[in-house]
Amino acid sequence: MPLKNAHTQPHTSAPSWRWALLGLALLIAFLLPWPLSPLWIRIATEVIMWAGLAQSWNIIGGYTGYLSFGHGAFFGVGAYMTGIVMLHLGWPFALGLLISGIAAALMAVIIGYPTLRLRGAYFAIATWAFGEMIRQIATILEITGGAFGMQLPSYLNLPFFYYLFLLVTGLTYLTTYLLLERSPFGYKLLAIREHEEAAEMVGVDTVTIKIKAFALSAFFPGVLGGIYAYWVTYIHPDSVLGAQLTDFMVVMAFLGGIGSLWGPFLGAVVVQLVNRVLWLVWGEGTFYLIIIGAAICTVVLFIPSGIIGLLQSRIFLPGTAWKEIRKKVKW
Amino acid sequence: MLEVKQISVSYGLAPALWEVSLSVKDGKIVAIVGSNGAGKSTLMKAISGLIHPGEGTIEFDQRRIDHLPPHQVARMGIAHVPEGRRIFPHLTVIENLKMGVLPIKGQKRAQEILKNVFNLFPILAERQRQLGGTLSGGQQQMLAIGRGLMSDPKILLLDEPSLGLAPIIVDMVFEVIARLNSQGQTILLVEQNAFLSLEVAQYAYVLEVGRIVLEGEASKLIDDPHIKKAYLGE
Repeated sequence: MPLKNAHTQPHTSAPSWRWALLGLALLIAFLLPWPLSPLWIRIATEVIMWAGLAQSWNIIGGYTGYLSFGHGAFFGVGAYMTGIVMLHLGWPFALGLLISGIAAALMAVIIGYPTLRLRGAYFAIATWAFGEMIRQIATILEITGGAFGMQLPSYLNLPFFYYLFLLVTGLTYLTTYLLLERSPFGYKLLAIREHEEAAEMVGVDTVTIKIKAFALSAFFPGVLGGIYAYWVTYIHPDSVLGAQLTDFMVVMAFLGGIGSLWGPFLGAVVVQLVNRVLWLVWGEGTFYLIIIGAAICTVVLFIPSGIIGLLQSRIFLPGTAWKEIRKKVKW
Repeated sequence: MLEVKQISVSYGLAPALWEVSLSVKDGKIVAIVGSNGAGKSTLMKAISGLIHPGEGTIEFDQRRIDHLPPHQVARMGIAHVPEGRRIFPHLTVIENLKMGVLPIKGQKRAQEILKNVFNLFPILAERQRQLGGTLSGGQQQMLAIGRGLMSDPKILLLDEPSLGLAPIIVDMVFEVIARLNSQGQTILLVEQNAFLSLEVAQYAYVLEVGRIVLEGEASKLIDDPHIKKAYLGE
């Protein structure tokens, strides 16, 4: 085995039919707004936003193995930053998005610097506390409009937001692919997730690498939050800083398969579609939470590699998935 | 090459090492012998930067390393093969080995080292696509040593390479240690198996409850009555 590709190719390269599939999916995504009604464009937009958020969480939670339970805060910070930039400073939306992303990433560095030195549950606890702190701050500050929130100028153009989310989410996946699946950086994260002490001993500067990964995983939610704020035009602490935001990112990533490129995408599609269909059928309610809870239990217990794991290894071998599950269940 | 001077380490209030000094010269195998809980692994961790001594200094190539983080120590040329192997279980053998390559080494050098590692451990070449966690204990130990070698270290720290291995595998591992040394590799070896390590080493220290109680030429220590009684079971 030649070592030619050491540090550049953690995995074997994708076969060409996968590229064809990807091209087809992109084409469908690009043409999607034409046949859809405004309601379904909104739903499709949400799905794409969530796909981006779940992937962002996956960078730190899946690839690095550090569970962030405050990731919603980066989305909220982004939403508020864009709001502040547009409303109070009168700067353009695009600049707001950039500032939102950078602010979220900077915040991740500040939070990560002390907490990513610790291992185990401390990071999870610290990020959870951080998320709660940001929500409280947004509730009392004047510049964020306190508990009432902020009203942004409205720009009613559904396809515009659809394509903007598509672009940013697309960039999230491209970045993940290039930096985490195809570079030494990805190898180092893998080493940290697999065995952190051993990673240190082979010369990986674990703290710096983890902080970089955390900042990267915060940047995109910041940008997505900014787009969201302009899209829905009205934001308040519960809508952009609520705990469900983080919960959904975690749930989607887990359901789809953490630490994989396409897992979070599949998870986001399934969860958000189920969520919206139930909403259409039964109206506003919390019933979908029960279904999602049951789905998560099933995934964690029986298919820890998520939907993507099922697709990759077993769906083409009929029956084996069930055999696998039956083996684990003691009747 | 490596000079440990009067280091003391404690875990909280519990002291683990008292004023331990040792030195490793270029091209030698130095063994640290001692029973369970003597502080051998603590000493290794202090050298590789995983813990920092409260007192004393550690110098490597005339540079102080006692307060450097582990990744910097590793980049200076100290490869620590930890106790209990600590390989990456969900990565393949070849991926585990690639992890050991430091970015500062060129591709060509990496190729040569890999060839050498496969020469030392042909089984790793055969199993390069297998997941690390599915190897036998002995093979995992070989993989851990191989990964350590991939960084082209100036000194190799081996912590209990015989731990939990069948006697025939232990002999094999020690043969490789001797072979590496004959190629010029400097090695600091920590072992409970006093007899084997004194046989392979040129110089040795005896560590008991955190202190160095004896040191000398390995060939002389083997005949020392205290050693015989305490470690060789005679």
